[in-house]
Amino acid sequence: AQRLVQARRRVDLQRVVYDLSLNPEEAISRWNGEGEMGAEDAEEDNDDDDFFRVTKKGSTDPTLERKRVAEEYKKHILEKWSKEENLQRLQSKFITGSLLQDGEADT
Amino acid sequence: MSQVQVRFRGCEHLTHRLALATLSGTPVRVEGIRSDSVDPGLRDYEVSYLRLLEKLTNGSVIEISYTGTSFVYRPGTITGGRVEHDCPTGRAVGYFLEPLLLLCLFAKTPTSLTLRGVTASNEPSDVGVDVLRTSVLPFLKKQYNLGDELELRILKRGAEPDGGGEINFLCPVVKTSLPTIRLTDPGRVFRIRGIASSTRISPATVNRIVESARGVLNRFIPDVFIYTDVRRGDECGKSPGFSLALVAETNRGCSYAAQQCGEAGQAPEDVGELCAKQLLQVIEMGGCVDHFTQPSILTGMLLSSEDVNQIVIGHDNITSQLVVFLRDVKALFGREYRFKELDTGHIEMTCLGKGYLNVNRRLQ
Repeated sequence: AQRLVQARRRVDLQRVVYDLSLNPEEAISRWNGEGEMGAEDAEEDNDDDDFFRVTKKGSTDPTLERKRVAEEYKKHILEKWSKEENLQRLQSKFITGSLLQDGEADT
Repeated sequence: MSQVQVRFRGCEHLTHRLALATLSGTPVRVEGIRSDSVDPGLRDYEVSYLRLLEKLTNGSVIEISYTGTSFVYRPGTITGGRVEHDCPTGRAVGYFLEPLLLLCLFAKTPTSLTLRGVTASNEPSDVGVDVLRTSVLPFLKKQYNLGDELELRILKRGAEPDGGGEINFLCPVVKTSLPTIRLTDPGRVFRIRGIASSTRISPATVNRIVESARGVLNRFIPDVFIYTDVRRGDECGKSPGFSLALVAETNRGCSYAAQQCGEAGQAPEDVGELCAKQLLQVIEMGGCVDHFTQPSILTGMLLSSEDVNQIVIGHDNITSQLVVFLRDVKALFGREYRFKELDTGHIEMTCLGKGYLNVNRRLQ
């Protein structure tokens, strides 16, 4: 978690969100401190407009792609919330959970 | 009146973009709509959304190009009133209704909007009617001190693929402008409510959904109550189906929602479990709004009286959709939101209200 926080610090969310040279997905991954390979790939796709070239974007059906992502997300959710440690951690978000246990202060 | 046209590319996030354009009165031109796809141009539901906007306004001009890959939209004044609309069954009615919630508040007359189509689907961006009715609308009602005139009635439920559902949305108009919002403490969950519904299916199914959802949630909190709504005959459309919507309410008045519909061959237990676990995920994300309410509240913040609005959202609520939304706001209203990362991992978003007045009403 510590590493994640540090990575995030590198990029200012404000700047990333309103930087129009990045597409939204890139902006998010940039902010999350993930690599910049994605950005370069996308550029390659864009400035080539050969007549006979089949663009990558056209070949993958966005609806199918969305379905696949949703399916993966579903699996992830089911798995994540079967684990006892994750469920334990969530207790503090409910009024029934003890706050003292993980040292969170109440307001 | 003669404002500069704003250009956009692509058809994603079209609904919110057009709603914002209507509120700001800016003509927009959208180009490159699936232009490199095998099946280019606008989809039927997108055209239908444009037609719906046309019905809710007076003097709007929509020009769709011959190929359907670009169009020009010059918004007129928002009139509201009694409107009926048939939505294509490709998307749930939430797709059409959710972006219009704030729009209708600034109409000339109170809106009574009847929509027919699919009432809930598994499309992540289509808000189900139950989530709208039990989470989004009560939250807006509380933040904006709207009375009971803001109401959503589910006359008929319609499952995919044939739809046949019918809802009636009643919306008052704001007299001057919206109050400012300051939400910094999400609070903690103190109860969970839900609605398990079915159309043209044995009533035992909904009980099985409820059972499995409670199995996941009861260890956190005993106050879990899931209503059941079994529709048959004239009360629903032609397709059989079942769905679950869950809402977790916090002691500070925020709410988190999750929804799930049964797909072909899926057991009711799986739907219940998946929905409950999605709710846990949303609760973990935290913040004061979930992603269903987020666009409406952010638009409301932008339009409110000229004061600083503040809201805390979860880290994972910053999605590419939100980025698109924020850029659209900047393009159409010239306003930026400010972000501050809090120690808790949440993000605080602030923006100065526009002091947007309900000009349509004054013209009356």
